[in-house]
Amino acid sequence: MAWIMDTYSMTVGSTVPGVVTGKPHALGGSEGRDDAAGLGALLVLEALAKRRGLDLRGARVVVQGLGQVGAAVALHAERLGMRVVAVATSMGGMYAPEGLDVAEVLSAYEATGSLPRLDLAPEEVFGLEAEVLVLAAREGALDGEMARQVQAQAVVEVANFGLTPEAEAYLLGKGVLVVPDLLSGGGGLLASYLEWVQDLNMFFWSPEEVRERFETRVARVVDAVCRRAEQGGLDLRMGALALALERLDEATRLRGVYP
Amino acid sequence: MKSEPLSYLGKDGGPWEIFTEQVDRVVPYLGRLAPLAESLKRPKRVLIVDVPVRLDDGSVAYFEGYRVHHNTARGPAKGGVRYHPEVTLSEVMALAGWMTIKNAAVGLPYGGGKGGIRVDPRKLSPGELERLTRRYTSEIGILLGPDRDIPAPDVNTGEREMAWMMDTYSMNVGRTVPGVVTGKPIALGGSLGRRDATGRGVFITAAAAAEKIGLQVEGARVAIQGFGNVGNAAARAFHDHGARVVAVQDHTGTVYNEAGIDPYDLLRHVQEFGGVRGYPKAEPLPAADFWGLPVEFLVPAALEKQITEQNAWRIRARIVAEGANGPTTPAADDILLEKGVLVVPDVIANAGGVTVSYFEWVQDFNSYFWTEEEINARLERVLRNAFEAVWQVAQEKKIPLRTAAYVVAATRVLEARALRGLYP
Repeated sequence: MAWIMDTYSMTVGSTVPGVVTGKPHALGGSEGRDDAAGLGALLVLEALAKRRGLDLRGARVVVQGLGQVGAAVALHAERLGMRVVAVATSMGGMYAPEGLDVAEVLSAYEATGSLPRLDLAPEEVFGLEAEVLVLAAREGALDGEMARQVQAQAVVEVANFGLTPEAEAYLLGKGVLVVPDLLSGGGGLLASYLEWVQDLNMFFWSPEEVRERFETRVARVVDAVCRRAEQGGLDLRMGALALALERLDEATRLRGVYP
Repeated sequence: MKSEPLSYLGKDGGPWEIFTEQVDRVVPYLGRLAPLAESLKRPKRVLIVDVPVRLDDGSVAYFEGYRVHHNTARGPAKGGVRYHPEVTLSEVMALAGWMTIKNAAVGLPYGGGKGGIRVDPRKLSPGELERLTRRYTSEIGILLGPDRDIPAPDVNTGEREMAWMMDTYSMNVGRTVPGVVTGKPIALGGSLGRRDATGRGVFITAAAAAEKIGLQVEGARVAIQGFGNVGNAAARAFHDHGARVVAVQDHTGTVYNEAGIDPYDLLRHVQEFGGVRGYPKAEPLPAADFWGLPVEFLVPAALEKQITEQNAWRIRARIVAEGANGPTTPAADDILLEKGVLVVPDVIANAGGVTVSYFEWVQDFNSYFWTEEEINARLERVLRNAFEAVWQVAQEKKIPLRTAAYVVAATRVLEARALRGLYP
């Protein structure tokens, strides 16, 4: 991103930080961007759980996938008072019913490229006893068959298309809170947007200001999606899609057909 | 292949040579970025323009004008325009380099620039000055723009010249662009709080330094040299925070009152009589005695080279906060270091002005203007962060704050340069 920004800037003859997002902080990147996707997913989960009367304090969390997003989710889950009992990569899962020390596991994973200990096969993490299951690995990670093992009350789809349609239908039928990718995966994009706004203004917010604006917008989105879903008797994925398409449609209609 | 030194300054490098020497002195602290320091010893672009002006008597006079972009790795070029008969390319280049350092030390998203016209403005009528300013602005217009290069006032330029520059640029591009210069009158998109900004900044950074060495501002004694914009705003800020301003010196004299001088009252006296001399609520003092006064804070806020090896050894203050540019000579710096006097260097101590200039530009972008309270709160945050970063490096590397400020600044500029890479 730094190269792209520099090349564009050199070509137009002036420094234009707002032409790309995801830049290093020294070049007009935003505070809090690195872990925004993970934080966003958890804030969405929290807001939805609250609406459902689901208490997440001390909740057991299983995180499948330890890329940048999965790792950030695990860290923030711990910070928000949940208990991360298992993490898994494509090699397998590490499980500790009393909770893992996330920072320790992550630094070991970062240093060696593998988890310190493998207690479970990769698919076995889906069936663990836990309140929250986070899918942060790849598309179609959880299919209809594996979904039957799931004991969690909430499944958060952080990776795009982490659930197959069959798996989602099954979980919804069971009354599980399914947080769709469309809703949970917006944190990175939101952080990019906040970076761009700061670049346009060339005025940069403190970490606290970024966090506050981030939280406000997440809360607003969750609220809008829930209202849309309730209004149409839709699940959250359909609610989010409906809301998005209606907004797009409204803008298109208002602008009319050119010329 | 080794890069050749710049040829276009000729044999006598002048102020630019001093700047490059300062860069060389920081290189040992730059670690992996050290090889990139060469980029600081070459300005990105230099523009020399001819500025012909029709004088009131009908004849035409020709002046030399400059605009230099020293470095734009961290953002658009920013720096003042000065009118002075002694202006040279070398001086403008050095001042542009110094702006790169200052903007980076404070953490503003700017590169460094500077401009000047070799002219004695006292010899020109207001009409001639306006034509000079407008022609110069048009000539350097190929470099200007709110996202490219943003001039500001400097020696012998002020709100009036900034208004002309803004108008000329705006006329040339066909729409009003307030963000192309800062230091404008409030009515044209200037910022509140600008006049006091530098003085407030002196206080903010001095107070931050005091915290670090366990010195209480409340009840502390302060001596201030210079009672212009900077000196009197600094005096008021110290006074408002419970410190006692015991001595003030300006070009007319020195006044002293151990019980404290009310700067608001002194300001009324200065406005009436043109200087501090004769202020009835304090006693006069020989000028030389000013430096040895028993105080906690000493604020040189007048001219450069005031603290020298002749008087540095007499200083009893615990903190010297440099409101002026370059008030301490290098030899005096060494003496103060040895005596354990903490010097808050000009690069951050008097950066309040450029910081509010930055706020002005941000407000112009948004066409939305902040209250004076918002400006002051943000000013405090920016300068405190700047001081903290410099302090940390000074502690880590065991170097004086002045060197640390240069290290922080050069590191930030070269870090940006490294991240951006070498085009193409």
